[in-house]
Amino acid sequence: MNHFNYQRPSSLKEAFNAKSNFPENSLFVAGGSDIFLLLKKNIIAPDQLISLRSIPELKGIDKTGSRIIIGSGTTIREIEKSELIQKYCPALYDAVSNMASVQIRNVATLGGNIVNASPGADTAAPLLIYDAKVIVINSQFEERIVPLSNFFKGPKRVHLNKNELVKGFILEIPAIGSGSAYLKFMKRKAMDLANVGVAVQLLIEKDICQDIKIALATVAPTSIRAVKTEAFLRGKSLTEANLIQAGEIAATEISPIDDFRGKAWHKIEVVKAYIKRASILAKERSNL
Amino acid sequence: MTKLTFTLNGDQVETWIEEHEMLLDILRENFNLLGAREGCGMGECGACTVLVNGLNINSCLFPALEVEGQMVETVEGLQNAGKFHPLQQAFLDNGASQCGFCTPGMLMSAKAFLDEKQTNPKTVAEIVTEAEIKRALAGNLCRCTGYFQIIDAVKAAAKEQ
Ligand SMILES: Cc1cc2nc3c(=O)[nH]c(=O)nc-3n(C[C@H](O)[C@H](O)[C@H](O)COP(=O)(O)OP(=O)(O)OC[C@H]3O[C@@H](n4cnc5c(N)ncnc54)[C@H](O)[C@@H]3O)c2cc1C
Ligand code: FES
Ligand code: FES
Repeated sequence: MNHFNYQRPSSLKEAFNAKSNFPENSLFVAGGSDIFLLLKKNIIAPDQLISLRSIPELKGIDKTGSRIIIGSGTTIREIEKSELIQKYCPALYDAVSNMASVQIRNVATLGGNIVNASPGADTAAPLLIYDAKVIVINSQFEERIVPLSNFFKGPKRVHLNKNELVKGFILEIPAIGSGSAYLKFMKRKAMDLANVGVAVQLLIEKDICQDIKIALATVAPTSIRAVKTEAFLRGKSLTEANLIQAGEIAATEISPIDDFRGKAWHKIEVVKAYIKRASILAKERSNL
Repeated sequence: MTKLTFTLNGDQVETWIEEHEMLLDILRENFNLLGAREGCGMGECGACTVLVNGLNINSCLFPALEVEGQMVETVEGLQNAGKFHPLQQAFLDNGASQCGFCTPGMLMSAKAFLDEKQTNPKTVAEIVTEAEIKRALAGNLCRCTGYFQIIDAVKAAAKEQ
């Protein structure tokens, strides 16, 4: 591990100033649960790390009207404990409560999980079904708001300039009566990354699926919405035949690869099964 | 070198560190507290678990500078006036420690879990389930016991609290 200099700014202004001192080789660090692994494996060697841990502007979970706003520096454990999240965004609760270990959840942040942009990041699929938008702020304190689906550039890459950081996320609370769920398939019962992740949010009225959003993790270069599958299920009832057909359509929307977690063909089979299961669980959780 | 001041097992302490050092390094090297260990150094095994402001964290991935002004607890701080903490006694009584490598980390994760439970008005024993204990200890690996004894020990300690 190289010897970096470590800054602990207590405001966004100080954080941007620190960054401008070493623009080339300095990195923001939140919980550090991704960055310190890369450092220890000598994959990265920054001269300076700028800790976002003591910046109050980046923390907290609030509800304003039909939206939930989560600061990028909010820890995964804080999200897990939040009554707002348990009540309004159960799929995100499913994801954070099954992520890593308590020790990691106590430090890891939502901002870190999204900016790290692993195709298997557990919070990405739930955020996609809540239509999440990313609040990006630059050193001039100008903000831009980007839909999460446009924020991901590719595996481990996001659209973020050197003078920008992520301030927070805006989630849309689903219509009353909706249900949502995230299911993660892993080899171990705990402490494992997703082999496949499926998030579903739906609204059912008179047995007909009025609205549905499906997002998939680990089966494409970034987490994605399965828009064709959504279009197929919209206006239909969730019969076994329709859900099986939905799984077949989803299989055409993904591009999984063989890796040490599993084979591509198996991930496709898991997606098919988990679209069914996650839809049924989301339906069970809806109030109608 | 940078000066670092924090509360360690109840005492105000001061030490000089390098900015890139992790909390685990300075606990072992500057304070000779050898309970927290480096198993993997990567957040996987939990042997390095200590509490910062009551929350269990992996000290192998926690920059030492982040504890400036904060409260750190290690396994060495569990005993009170020469008496074992109820968790330590329960680990002994239930055979929850064999080689002992994982034990300090296990104890600290279990402590964070029970302390948090204690804020609940019902008695701790009533509300601690086996499933919750397993979830609370998922980040602590043990290569010896097979976990059953550890889960029994945490249940027994919950009754004591
Ligand atoms: C043992 C272990 C188990 C894990 N298990 C899981 C798991 O089950 N599921 C899962 O999804 N992940 C898992 N992870 C990965 C990791 O914990 C998560 O991705 C975590 O959410 C990262 O957050 P962080 O705050 O620690 O990120 P950091 O390491 O601090 O940062 C990650 C990246 O994001 C950037 N960044 C952070 N915050 C901002 C910001 N506000 N603005 C701009 N850039 C920013 C950093 O510069 C860095 O590039 C695991 C990691 C470990 C070590
Ligand atoms: S040494 Fe820290 S988790 Fe293994
Ligand atoms: S007692 Fe040996 S690793 Fe747990």
